[in-house]
Amino acid sequence: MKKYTNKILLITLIIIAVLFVVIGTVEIRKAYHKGEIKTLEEIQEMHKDAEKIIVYTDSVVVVDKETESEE
Amino acid sequence: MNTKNIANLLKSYFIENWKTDLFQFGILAAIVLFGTIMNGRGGNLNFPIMVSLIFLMIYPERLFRNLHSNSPKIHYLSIPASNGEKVVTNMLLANIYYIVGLVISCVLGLVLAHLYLKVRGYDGLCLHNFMFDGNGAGILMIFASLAVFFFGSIYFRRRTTLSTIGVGMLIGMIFSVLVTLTLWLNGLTLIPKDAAFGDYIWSFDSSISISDTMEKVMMYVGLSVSIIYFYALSFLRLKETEA
Repeated sequence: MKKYTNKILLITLIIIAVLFVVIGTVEIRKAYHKGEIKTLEEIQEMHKDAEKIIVYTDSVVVVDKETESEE
Repeated sequence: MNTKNIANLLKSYFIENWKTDLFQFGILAAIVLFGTIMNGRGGNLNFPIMVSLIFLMIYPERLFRNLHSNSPKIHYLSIPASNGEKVVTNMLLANIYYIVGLVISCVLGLVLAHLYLKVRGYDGLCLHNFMFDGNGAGILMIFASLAVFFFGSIYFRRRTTLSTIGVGMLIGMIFSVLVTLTLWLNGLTLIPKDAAFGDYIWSFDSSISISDTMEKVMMYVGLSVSIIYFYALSFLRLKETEA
């Protein structure tokens, strides 16, 4: 009898990986079009007067001349 | 599928293993008893559930231990029952019998802890903390994990539980690479590099997620499919081992 288990596992893993990347890409694109993701230029445009913009992985800190606000 | 064969397999399992099972259930009840008493009267269900889950995930290794060495393997494979019947029998044992045993042991441990505290003059356990309000997806997740360990116990030859955990971690690492790849393909990055941060960054209220209903449906369907998938694969692997 031929051994199919390894092949089935490998094919399943590949299918899930491809679906993962495709669905992830679609969701990121959707989020970008909804405005949930912004480019660095867009943020700089929004806070022209800011003294400094610090970018972290999940947040952006805008340092104004007088106050410091975290968004 | 002959129910008589399944009944015979169950009978032979209980004859061979009732002492070990009783011992394990006793150990679990003792762990829950002492753990709960030490945890204090205001404890909750997390501790008994965690310990039970560890017991449950190790259990399939014992169910198929005959497959892990040569001479018992030949004996097990030559038992007059089909591979389907053997898989179904072990499924019944892992998904019903052992889970019921674990629940009874936990309840016993908790009741004994409650009585002990009462005898010592305390108020006893705050029993409302022990009302289980687990959701369907959580329960389905437990059954899906059990199916994975079940398959692992047939697939691997030695230290099946550890091997399954190891491969699971490896697949997790592959998927974390895929997350980075997906972000990179879309001009996003998770690594902050000051000005050279990338074309796009996460916005302030970034929460990319599909709708709740869709997420739930996908979760339930995905988990159910994975349970069926791993048991079907277990059957196939057992057939291959026989060949």
